[in-house]
Amino acid sequence: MAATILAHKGHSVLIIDGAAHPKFAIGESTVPLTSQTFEHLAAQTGIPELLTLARGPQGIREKIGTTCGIKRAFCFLYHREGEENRPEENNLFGNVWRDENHLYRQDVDTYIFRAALRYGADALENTRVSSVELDDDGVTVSTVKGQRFRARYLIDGSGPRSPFIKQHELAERPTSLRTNTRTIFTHMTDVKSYDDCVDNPFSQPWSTGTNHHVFDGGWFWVIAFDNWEGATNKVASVGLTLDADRYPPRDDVSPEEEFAEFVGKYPSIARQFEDARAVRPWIRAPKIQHSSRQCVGDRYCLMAHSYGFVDPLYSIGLIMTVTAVSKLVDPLCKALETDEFAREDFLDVEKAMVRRLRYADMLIYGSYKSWSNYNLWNAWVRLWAIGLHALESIFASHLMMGKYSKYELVEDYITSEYEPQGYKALIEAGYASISAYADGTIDADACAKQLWKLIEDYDFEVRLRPEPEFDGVEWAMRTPDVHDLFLGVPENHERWRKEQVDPWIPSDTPA
Amino acid sequence: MTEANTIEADIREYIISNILDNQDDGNLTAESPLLEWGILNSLQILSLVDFMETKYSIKIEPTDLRPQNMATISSIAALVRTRQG
Repeated sequence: MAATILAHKGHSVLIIDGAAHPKFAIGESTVPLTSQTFEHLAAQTGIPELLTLARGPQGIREKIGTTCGIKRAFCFLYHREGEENRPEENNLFGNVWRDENHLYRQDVDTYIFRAALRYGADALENTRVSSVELDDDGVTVSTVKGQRFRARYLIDGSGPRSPFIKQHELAERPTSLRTNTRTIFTHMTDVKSYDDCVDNPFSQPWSTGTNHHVFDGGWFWVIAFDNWEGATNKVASVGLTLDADRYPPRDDVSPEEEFAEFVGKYPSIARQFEDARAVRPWIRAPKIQHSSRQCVGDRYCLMAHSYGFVDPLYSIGLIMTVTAVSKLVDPLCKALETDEFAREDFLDVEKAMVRRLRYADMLIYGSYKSWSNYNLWNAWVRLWAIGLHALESIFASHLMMGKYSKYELVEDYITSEYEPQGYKALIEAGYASISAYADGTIDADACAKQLWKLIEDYDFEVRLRPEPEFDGVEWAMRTPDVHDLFLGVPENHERWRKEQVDPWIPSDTPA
Repeated sequence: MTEANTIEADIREYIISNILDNQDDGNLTAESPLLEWGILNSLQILSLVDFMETKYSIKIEPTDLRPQNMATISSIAALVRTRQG
């Protein structure tokens, strides 16, 4: 993406890739914030291919094809070992404003890659880098094939096994990230719609959202690409991510066997996978967290996935990537004009990456801890949802109104300059509570009580839906027995205005 | 009146009736800076979009809602004409 933008601006760009497009990648689920950042980038650069991505499923179908799925909601489905999934322990968060995407990355990435070539970038695929030397005047990249290339600036998007990070000892060892998880994933065919496996009293079909099957110790993702009429791609992205402290890496079973073992523990999930078959080899990663000591230096920038990663939960990785590109474009183009590439001029990129990675770590660490108790999870997940919905509203206001937006940008942010003013304090207080629970200082009930109190006291400075006909969202967000938080359904708002919980919640459900 | 002028007149009338509570002092022209003067906020833009989509049977995408498209009655009318193809 960065190469596409730089080439479009007329700069000389060389892409060196150890593999070749089309290629498998995860990071498939977008949220409105991802598309808004694409929209910001498209406006910043005037590149039509970025506008395609910003336009969501419609843009992708028109310009890329019918292999991507839609995402209308985050579906969090809570499971207890050996038991059927209970509807009253599920949570749905979504917004009707526009559909988001399940990106079939090999097609989307190829589209952006080809755009880079069309705008004049050169590319060397199936080419591995052996060393990268930095000096005062530029960067020298050598490949295992014996080629040498000279550049003025390096953007490293090669991920945690980056030869540049290794050679220059940029990895933070051990990582300061508190989350410790491992994962198993692939693409599968014949994964059933979850609507065919359980009763669904919610306002939206589970199949039109990203399925997160969460349980004490881990979670499964199911990202369908064929969840709309006209879809042509019958596979789904599936994965299992586990708390590695609780479930240490194993080499006594294959990844497929281990995946099946966990599926078998949860009857409702087992039905979804009973006919499923992998269409590509399984991948198992024994630890997925990594971080770097710095994100930018004189003449280089580590792209988000090279800089650090926590866990696929909440789809934060792709937002970080698009944000990094968005923050890098202006200072880099200026540097290419002045030929000054000092680290100090790129610190805004580093600030964004450091803060987003830390926020992801806090949120995800807390999520794994909270899955031991549904009431605790039901409170914890709202800290994320409150921030995401408000952030999208403020970002939308800035995109629409420009400098005339009434919302001021936050300088000392926890995740984004577009977050609401009080959000950092909310997350820090919530994280202190969940850490106390993790350390054994307080029990789950006490922790949940503290979190619900924080939510109750939180000042919703930004109304999550400002239109009068959509009143009641803040009440719903604060109320444990409202689980269907799809904001676009008028019936939901009518009920919330009357302070009525989801009608199908059993009356004996503990608050 | 040309079709282009009709669109501008429709938008002006919508803004006066629905946003300015029929307070028309004659200063609102096709080039008045709607955002700068605080006449349009993001919620009012969304209502205006609803009006334009219904009135002209067009589809305005979220990515069309940029300050440069919403700056004046004239630029909003230009967006409508673009979406009319």
